[in-house]
Amino acid sequence: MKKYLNTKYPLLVSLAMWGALIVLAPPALADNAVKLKVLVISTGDMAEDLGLAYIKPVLEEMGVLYQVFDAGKQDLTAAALASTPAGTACKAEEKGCIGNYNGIILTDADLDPNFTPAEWDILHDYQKNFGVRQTVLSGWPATYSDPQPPYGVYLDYGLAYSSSGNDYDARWTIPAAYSKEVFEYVNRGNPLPVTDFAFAAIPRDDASSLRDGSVPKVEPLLRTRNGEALVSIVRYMMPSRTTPVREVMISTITHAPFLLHSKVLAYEFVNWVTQGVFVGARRIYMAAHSDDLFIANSLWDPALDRIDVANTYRLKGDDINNAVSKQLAFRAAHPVAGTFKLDFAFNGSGATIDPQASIPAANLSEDLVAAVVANKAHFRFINHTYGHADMDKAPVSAGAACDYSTFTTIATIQAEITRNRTVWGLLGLPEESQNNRVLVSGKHSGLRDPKCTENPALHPEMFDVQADDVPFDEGGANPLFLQAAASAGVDYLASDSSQRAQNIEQYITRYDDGSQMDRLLLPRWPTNIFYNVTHPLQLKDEYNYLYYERFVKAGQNPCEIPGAICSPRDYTEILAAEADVALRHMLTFNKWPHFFHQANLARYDESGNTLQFDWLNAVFAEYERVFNLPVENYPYYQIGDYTRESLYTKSASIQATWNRTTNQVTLSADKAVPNLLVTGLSGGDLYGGQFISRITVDSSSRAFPVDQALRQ
Amino acid sequence: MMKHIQAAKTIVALLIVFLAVAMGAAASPPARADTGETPELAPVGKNADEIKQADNEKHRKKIREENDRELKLREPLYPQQARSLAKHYKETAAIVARQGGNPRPLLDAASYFEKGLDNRVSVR
Repeated sequence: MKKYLNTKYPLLVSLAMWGALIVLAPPALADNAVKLKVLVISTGDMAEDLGLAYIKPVLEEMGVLYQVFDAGKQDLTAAALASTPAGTACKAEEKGCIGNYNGIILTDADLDPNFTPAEWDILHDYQKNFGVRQTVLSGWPATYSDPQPPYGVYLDYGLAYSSSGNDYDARWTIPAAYSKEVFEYVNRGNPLPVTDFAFAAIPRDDASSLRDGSVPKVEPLLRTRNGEALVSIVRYMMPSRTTPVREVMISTITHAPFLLHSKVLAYEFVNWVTQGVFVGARRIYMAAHSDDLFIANSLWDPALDRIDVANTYRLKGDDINNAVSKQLAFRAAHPVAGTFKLDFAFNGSGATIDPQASIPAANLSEDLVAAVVANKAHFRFINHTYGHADMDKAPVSAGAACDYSTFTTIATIQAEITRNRTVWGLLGLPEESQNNRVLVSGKHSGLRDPKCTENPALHPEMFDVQADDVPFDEGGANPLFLQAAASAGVDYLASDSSQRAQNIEQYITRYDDGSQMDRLLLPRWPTNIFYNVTHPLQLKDEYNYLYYERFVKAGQNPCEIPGAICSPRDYTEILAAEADVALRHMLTFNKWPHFFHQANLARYDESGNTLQFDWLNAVFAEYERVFNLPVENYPYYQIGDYTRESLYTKSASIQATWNRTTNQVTLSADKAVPNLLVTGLSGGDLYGGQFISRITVDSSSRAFPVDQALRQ
Repeated sequence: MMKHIQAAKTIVALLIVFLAVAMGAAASPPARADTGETPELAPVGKNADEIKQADNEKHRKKIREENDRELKLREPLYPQQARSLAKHYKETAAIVARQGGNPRPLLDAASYFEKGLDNRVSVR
């Protein structure tokens, strides 16, 4: 008996335990998890696929984890989308199966001829199985049937072609249900000009189904004036369900990196497809640097069609007082600008009693100096070297003719940096220690070799005095300058993004500057508000000379010259052109400041107008026509710090997985990353209706709750 | 008598509206693209601000197009990308034709991108 009981009891206990486990354990469903990575399916490489050339820089700038799949070179397999550690394809229902991507971007709507019906089925099955969205950047709103078994429609966006063209004034028609989810950041009250080829289509709204039984239901978000769809959300519905089995955002507009409509739409293509949860983030930035404060600039002479070195302008105290007023008025007129401050890159020699003195003494009673000191709280300052000296390489042969004086020792270059810091202290300008890490050399000198030919007036035989320059990436930088900067503790050096190889945020590894840590190049955007103009007539004259008249005088047709203009522009048109360009810069999401010069801040009329604030007002008016996001205005040293963080983050291997059941993202990295930006986590800063967090990650996995801010 | 006058006035008003619409339709560009410049009947009393706004928008559009053109010219990869797009749309046209659809819009798209290459530096 006992034996029988002893045999039975353990079995009963076991059964009871298993029963309890069955009752208490969660259903044997999937982890319901996907990696935070976007799959970009392209039709070729960057040289072949315009859509890839468009979206890749956006993903890079935002810091989104992504992978490119070239449909022209390989076949899509189910295992590529979701697989076990052993590499075999798996389904979401299987325990331990994690989807490899939380969003799919197609650069083209039909990917033909390389993407087969079977591959489309694999892609759609993954989307349905893991609840992953798809964005289509551009292309023909195709409906295709499979001529082979299993036959049936395998691709259908629910749209019928209506018209095509390259000039649409598109209207936002976002349904109320989506108003907190898509295109929150655009100014929906204004039309969006679409300026390249687009197919416009009409939602079919019929019961035609794909071969999986789903029926596409189209909700246009952006339409032509005639009501045709240009960008839509397509929800694929099954008769038995109230929620879609699959979702696609389709744009039938051609996109390119340089097109304004492309820049406006780019963020949402990424944000929507990832459901607002992704590694990375984006903000909009504007900083304006006014170089050469305290020294004079030579001015353009319209009668001579060149600079007149005898005619110079140096700001006055009244100009500074006026700039304070104009800055306050600018902030009031453009609330998105927040507490915007102009940055003055200054040359301390112009603020001293005797610039040649070995120990500088500040000229505090001088009109301009006194006004700057009195108003220092309204602005920020950057070291632009003491005397605006040229930091370029000395000519190879000592004594050879050169348009500019050069230094031949590290000590003399370093003195240009440190003497300016002395003046910083004498004037009591703010944030001196933070700014010791940043330097803007005069004319960005020291980064390329002008070969001593810099002044066009001295070289009439040269149509372009820059034609013989040695660029930064070919050894043009001055090693003495870089060593001096390193010795002076400068971490960040400003560069001119219009110069070859100076348009990349990069560590300067090519040159040995004698230190363990390389300097970081921080590009700045130039503008056509030239350094040598104080008022609109002068600017207009020089602008039209440079871009129109000099070609005409040389017997050329400016309409056929890249970079030239076909007809002269007035001041309003110049401002409009500049504002359009600056807006495109802002919509790249990069932090690069725009640089100007002190002459541009001269008060040119009784209303206190200045070229500088005319430009800022025009740019922000243009910006507000399309976007409603706050514009960040960081000091240059902070731009350097964030740039450094971004480059460091890109060097790490980040693992991020979103468990949609627990609604948490688990993050880890192959090395410690102190400030990883992640969008869609609870507790971050609210920007544009979404939370952006700065997270410390390392090799230990940590989980963070998700908050897509769909009610913000 | 009054009734007849009223009727006549109505007929005249209808004729005026009909003529205005007919003239507007005749002046409209082909319905292939929403150019933003489709003529509309100018509302009575259109004020100077609205006219100025329309002018500003015209200016802005001209500048935008010029900047687009300039930036496109500066893209070294654009010619190859445009050629690829044109080729792709021709391939899509063939598929659409095989499936019984109208390939014309796709052939137009291919032509657009091919023409863009020919006109990369043209009179503006």
